[in-house]
Amino acid sequence: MRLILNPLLFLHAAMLLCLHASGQKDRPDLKFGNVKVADFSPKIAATDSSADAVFLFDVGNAYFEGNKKDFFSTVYEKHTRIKLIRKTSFDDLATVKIEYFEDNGFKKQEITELEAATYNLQNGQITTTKVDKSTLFKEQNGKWVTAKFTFPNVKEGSIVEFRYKIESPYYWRLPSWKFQGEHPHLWSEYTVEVPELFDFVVLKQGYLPFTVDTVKNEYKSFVVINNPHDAFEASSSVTVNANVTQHTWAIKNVPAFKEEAYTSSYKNFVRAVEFQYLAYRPPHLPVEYETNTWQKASKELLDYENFGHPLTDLNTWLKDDIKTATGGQNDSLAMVKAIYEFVRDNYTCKDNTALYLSQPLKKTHFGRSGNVTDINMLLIAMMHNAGFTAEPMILSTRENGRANEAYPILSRYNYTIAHVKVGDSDLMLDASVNRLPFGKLPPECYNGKAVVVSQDKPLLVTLSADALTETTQTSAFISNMGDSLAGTYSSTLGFQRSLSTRQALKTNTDVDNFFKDIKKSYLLDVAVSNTSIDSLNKPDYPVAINYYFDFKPTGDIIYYNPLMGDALKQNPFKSAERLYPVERPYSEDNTFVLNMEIPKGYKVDELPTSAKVLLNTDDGFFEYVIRADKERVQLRCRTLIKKATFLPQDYQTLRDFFAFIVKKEAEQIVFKKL
Amino acid sequence: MKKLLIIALIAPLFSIAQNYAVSLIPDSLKNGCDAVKRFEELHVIIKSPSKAIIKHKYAITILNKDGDEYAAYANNYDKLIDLSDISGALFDENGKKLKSVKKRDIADVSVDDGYSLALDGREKKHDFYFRQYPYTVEYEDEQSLDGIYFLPYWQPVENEKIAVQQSTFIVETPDGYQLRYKQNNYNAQPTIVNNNGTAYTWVVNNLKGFKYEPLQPPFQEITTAVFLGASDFSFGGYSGNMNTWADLGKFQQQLNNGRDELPDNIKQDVQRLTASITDVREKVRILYEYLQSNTRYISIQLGIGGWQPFDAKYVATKKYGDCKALSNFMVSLLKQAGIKANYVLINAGNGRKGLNEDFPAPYFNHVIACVPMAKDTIWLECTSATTPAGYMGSFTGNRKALLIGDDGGHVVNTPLYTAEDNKQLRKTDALVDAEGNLTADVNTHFSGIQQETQHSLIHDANKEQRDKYLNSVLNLPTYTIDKYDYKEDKKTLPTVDEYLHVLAPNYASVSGKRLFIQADVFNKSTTKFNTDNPRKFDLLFRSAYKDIDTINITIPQGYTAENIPPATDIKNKFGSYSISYKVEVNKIFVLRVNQRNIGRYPPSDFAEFAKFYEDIYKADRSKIVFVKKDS
Repeated sequence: MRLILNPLLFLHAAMLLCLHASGQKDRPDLKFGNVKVADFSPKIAATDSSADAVFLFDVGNAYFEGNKKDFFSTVYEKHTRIKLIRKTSFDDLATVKIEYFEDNGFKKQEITELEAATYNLQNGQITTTKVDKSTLFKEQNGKWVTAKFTFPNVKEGSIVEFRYKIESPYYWRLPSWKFQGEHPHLWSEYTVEVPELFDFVVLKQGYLPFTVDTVKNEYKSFVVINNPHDAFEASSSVTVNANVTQHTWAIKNVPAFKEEAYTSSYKNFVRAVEFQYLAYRPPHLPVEYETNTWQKASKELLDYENFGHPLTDLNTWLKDDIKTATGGQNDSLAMVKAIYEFVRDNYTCKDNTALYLSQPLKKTHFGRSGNVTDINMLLIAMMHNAGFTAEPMILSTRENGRANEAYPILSRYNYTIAHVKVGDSDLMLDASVNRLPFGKLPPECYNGKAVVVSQDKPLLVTLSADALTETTQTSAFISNMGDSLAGTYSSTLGFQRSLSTRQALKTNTDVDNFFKDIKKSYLLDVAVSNTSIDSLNKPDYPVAINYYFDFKPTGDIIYYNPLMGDALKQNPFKSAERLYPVERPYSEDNTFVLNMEIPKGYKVDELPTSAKVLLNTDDGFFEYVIRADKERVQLRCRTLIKKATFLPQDYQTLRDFFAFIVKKEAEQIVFKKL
Repeated sequence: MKKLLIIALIAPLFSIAQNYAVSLIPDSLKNGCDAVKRFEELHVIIKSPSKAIIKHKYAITILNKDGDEYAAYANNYDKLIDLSDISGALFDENGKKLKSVKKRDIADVSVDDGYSLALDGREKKHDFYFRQYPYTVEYEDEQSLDGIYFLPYWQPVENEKIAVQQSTFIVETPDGYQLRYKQNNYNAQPTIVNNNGTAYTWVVNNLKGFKYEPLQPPFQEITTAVFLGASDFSFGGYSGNMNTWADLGKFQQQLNNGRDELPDNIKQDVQRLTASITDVREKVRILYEYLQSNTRYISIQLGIGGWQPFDAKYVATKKYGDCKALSNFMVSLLKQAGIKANYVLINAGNGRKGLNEDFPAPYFNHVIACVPMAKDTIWLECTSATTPAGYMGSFTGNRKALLIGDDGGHVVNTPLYTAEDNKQLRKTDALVDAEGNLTADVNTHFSGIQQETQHSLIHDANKEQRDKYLNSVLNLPTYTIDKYDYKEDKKTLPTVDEYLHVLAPNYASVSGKRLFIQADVFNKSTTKFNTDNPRKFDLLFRSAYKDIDTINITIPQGYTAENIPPATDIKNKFGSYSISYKVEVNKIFVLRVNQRNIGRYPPSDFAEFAKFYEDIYKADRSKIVFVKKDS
């Protein structure tokens, strides 16, 4: 089972897929309120005994309609019936929240035909309690409105049902549909009906087979009413006839989607359909293409007022900041670095998933805050002003799911960074992340292809977690000092771990606690002193952790774990099986070296054995080499994992590999008194 | 003369521009702090029982990154609180003004408390997002209160690591208005000036910041704070007085009045369920369970509705309500069955304090119901669908609350849970094989506050969440819980019996001829205290408990014990701890008893307290070492 990004399908492509014979007969009766006694039967939940609720059906429709404002609107209808089995589902499902957009009444989405009811079975009779309109609450946050209501008379075993319609003038946005969710669905169906006036591309993902996947063509009439421009103008209407393609997808018995650790995003695996607007084909007029090549998409993005257009302004108000940042330096690289650091250290990122500007660059500048695109665009504008070539680079973060590079579906992207040329080298800069080293990107960005948005030559750049190697080097030296053993410990981290350490250790208290935890991680009673962390506030250098430690050997026998506090104590892969790929943030190479004098007056009684195991044939290895002579014990322990992504079939191997490491690193040296 | 004095106190603060140069802050205030409040004036003008104005002006210097959160401005408003006149400015290190707040930069957002279906609370926010340290922000705003049921309190030190250079609290009341106040850690009386009304002034200068200490008393007890209590007030169209708890209760009585009428079908339900029962406790239990299985908790807080319950009819038809509505409904059900019950205002939350008996004021966040009985009162948490009748637990137990009677309010104590109530009795039977893999049957009996996690695992978690929790909660390197079972007993002091079947590969480490095992498998103390700095505050232990672990482990044949840890036995005022190990051929026996008492201890006890935890930490991690006989 692996991620399947189906080849792109076009809604209007001349294809007729066969209707699965079983499809239609499985379709539930969708009449509102038509709940039957049998629906309350406990057998309904039998397929998944752990489910605390089951969707009896979840059905959506999206279609076009002529509107009163000279054009077309989309209409989205949703109709859902859920059986609430246990109380634990009430928080999520017994209260419904519907989000929509209201832009000063001009381009306003409207929610209509809202209907909702609760059904209970009492003494063999079904009682219906309707949701009272007065209990619908609306909450406004900027241009977004959340309509909320809760079902009355809900108890374990109740069935709840709701439906609503949202009319939207944003005709180029067709709502997407997820067939899978946290709860099992007996039937999930989505129908999209698009007149030939509009082209959309369909993007499917996930791997559950569709029970129904059909296309139908029909001829339909649309009435578009002209909006009178003044009181004297009468409104008129135009009837547009068009061929309409209706595409229906449905899945029967959809299991609940269960998230697992080390997954970039469940969004990559859930069965879903999404749409990207392609073109408007007005009758008898040339086609107005949206975006169908990266070249075109780039051009449009660069011309767009909420993306690239502000970069074409002179933005001379940035001069002062550039001067402050660069302080009269001449070297190109030093200047670029200084500008980057200035933006990184002086701006606050309030929203780290946004492809478009939320405000004018000037406002970002004066407010010293904005979303990730606001901040990195400002960085680009400063680079331009300082005379450098810089271009925006867009990507989809791991959390957001993978974008399809073959086709410019911009709704899949949620992040902008800066691509800067200095001499012969290309730098990727992200000024939205605090404490990020110059020229590095946060792990969230390593999610496949990113696109340099360039006027002439858009460039696809692969950002792969597999190619990101995290190297940690640790060494410890221990020698006899009087009747104690004294050691020095030093560990240099790779850049990702350095970044997370910097983000975790923000205050001195955090650092104190960090070393306290280190002291705790020793099984022996050691004293830890001379603690220091190198480069904690120098993002461009790796973080190094250093300290001295000492302890007094006592008793006839000393048991000593040579990996000290660094032994891996937990297997990160707890669950016994795995359905989706393991996506770790990076590949890694960790080395631990110990050079230890044998405690004075003791001898080695028992030493762990040396060992080496391979991870598959060539994905990495764990090596534990230990030897002792009369004076000292030497250990070299290395874990090399050459890639970040593992397929489900490799899961057991990976889990066993880590189990072996945990076991081996727990072993102890036994010293015996002479 | 009096007039002059009041001007001298107030006027300069408003009229003279402050100098916010950072160099003017004494070093002793900057030390160890992230921010220093330079100046503050909180000015409360009570105009009448129905009207008050709150003017707040403050400036705070941010010294480093960690102080940034204090640079942001936010204040709330709703149907009964108006918020206006927000202004502010940003200053650099030298006190030079860099910019001012522009009206369009003030965000206006709805408050989301994370659980309410509807609230009318909104918030105005602003942030300069300046990041060149040090810098200073100054803000000023004005709130107008429609009714003075709630009055603000003054607490100049808002958090740890913030010092205060100067802060003033002024309260003005009309002539003859009785203001009550309670001051904490303020070693003087306020300046009181009578002139056509009364003005009270509290001032603090140069308060140093402090560092959080584990188990410290509540923040408001260790820092300077002044709380206000109204006498006569009106609120949302009602009026009352709160000089005494009795009066405050009368006001609530007024809000609740006439809201207990039940529709006929519910009356019939009550009749049907209780007519044949004679025992009052049993009737209460039956009606409480009726409430639990027929309603659910939904929070709706709009206007006066934030303090007045929806009536019983509303709950009867919608089958949901918040703590007020559900408690009122419960009281109504009991009344219908001829049982006298009361509505009770409480400050709920794990570790929170109840009301201050000597200072009547509405510091409550929750409502419960109770049935006073000759011997002991039955307490009912009406927002829980699963709690047994009579149980309060960590959320509402062990504190003072306000019972609303027909004659007004009465201060009452909710149940106290002792170490004997909060028990965890665990029996572990484990087998270790030749590779060190451990298989264990773990039977645990939990009671009182110690059963709350298990209670919520049974009722609030679905199977997936439960599996996830159980497979990550144990302090073991790699393990699986492949079988588990729960049985609960819903008594006034509830208990849960848990069975776990645990597989822990490589639990014991076997290297060559030796086998190492930590015999205290499942209950290792994870707490240690740092004693590097002198302790400043009392130690407060709010919850008592007792754990008894009996562990039997069988290891492979052919080993002899090389090292058995010594027994530990400690008794002190904090509680007691003992652990002992015994090995017989290939069997290990461990008995561990750990008890903690409720108590408050002076800072001088901290060293002993920390040592106690250090000893437990070590003793819990002792390893038994076995060595192969033939080697």
